[in-house]
Amino acid sequence: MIESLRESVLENPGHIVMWGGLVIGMVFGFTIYRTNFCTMGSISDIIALSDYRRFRAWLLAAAVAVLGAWWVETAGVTDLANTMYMTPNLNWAGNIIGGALFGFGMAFAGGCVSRNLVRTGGGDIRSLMVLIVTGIFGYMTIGGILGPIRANIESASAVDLSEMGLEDQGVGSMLASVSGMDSATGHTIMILVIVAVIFLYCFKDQQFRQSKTHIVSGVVIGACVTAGWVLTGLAADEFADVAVPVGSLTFVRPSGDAIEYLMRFTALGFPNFGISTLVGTILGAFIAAKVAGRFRLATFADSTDTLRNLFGAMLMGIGGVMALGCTVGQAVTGVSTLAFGSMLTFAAIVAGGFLGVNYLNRLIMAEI
Amino acid sequence: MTAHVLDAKGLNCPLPILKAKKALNDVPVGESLEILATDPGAVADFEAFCRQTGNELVETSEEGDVFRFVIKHTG
Repeated sequence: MIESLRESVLENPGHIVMWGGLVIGMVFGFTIYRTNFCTMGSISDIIALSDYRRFRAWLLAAAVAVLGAWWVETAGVTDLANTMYMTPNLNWAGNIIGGALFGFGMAFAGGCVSRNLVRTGGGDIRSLMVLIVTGIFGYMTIGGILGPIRANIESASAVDLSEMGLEDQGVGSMLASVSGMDSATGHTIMILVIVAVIFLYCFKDQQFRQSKTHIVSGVVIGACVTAGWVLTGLAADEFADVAVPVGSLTFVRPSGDAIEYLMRFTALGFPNFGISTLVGTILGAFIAAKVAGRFRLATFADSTDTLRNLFGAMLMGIGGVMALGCTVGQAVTGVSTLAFGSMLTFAAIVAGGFLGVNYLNRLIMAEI
Repeated sequence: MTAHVLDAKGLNCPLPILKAKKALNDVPVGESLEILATDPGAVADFEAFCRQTGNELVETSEEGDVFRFVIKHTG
């Protein structure tokens, strides 16, 4: 079944990744718009309202993605140990500093990159500007004017876990290393423990159990990440001229890729998975906004609003590249591989988000 | 018409909620706060706001591009 699917996909991988990514993005964007799923909003709900439901939905998305990734590996679709998240080179400083910058920035930009894609679909031109600035600063941090600083921080701090005998940075391999068990068993045990802990934390809460919207948002977003692994896993062919990298939903680098694609279309082939899902997310949100009768053009409220949003976008671009991902790219997609760096980034984004929302709150409280 | 009005038009999450929380502190118990907002997420946000803070969402309406919420300070 899987192998016959793979053969079909490999007949035309560029086309299938493009259309498949577009559909996955549309489901993702539609779901976020309809359910009001928001990672930054989940932090503001905790600070302002002591409401943990959206935060639980975020964790549920990660747990569902962990289960999905487990299925992807056991069904033989692809081996996620080879993805960029699982490299034995642990970029801990980038994960922590980048995650914190991203989290702090998203409070100022009205939400993370995926939230701004959804707002763009709903007609918010301010969010489109946020995405463009995030993409530009992301590229500046990859190989532009900020690239050398990022590279220096990485090379000065990264730890090569293979020197300690670890195959990768998966928490399963770490458990195996300290306990003496084989790494496959360690991986399975960590999957079960992480999923059980998250499910228990989510569903012990009566308010969350009774909120279908929050449960649906977490399950669908986790499923979208799984669908991304399946699509790119089937399309990846190491012998191809232009190999499709195995990946799933992530949005910071693709924001820059999308700008580059628009400017250099004739020199590039099919849009990659990241660009396709990014466009799909905007389209899905556009459809949801139209169906709800809430599509409306909006822009910056004033100069303060402009500065606040663009400042947030700048931090998201820099932080998202340093940390190798965002609230979805690392906190759901990366975590689904069980990479330790992804978990570090998740924690750092949440910490940065708390600092950012609290800072905004203090500014508001100080207003007369 | 309520006497206490918060104009949060043009502002995105989390600002309308944070500003509403502050504004409601200045509204005596029993009186209402009228909030004007344009962020489409504000509808779900203010439902959650009232559910969590125990204040009463008396009215939600939409006129043109503007959402209007009336919250009675009961919590």
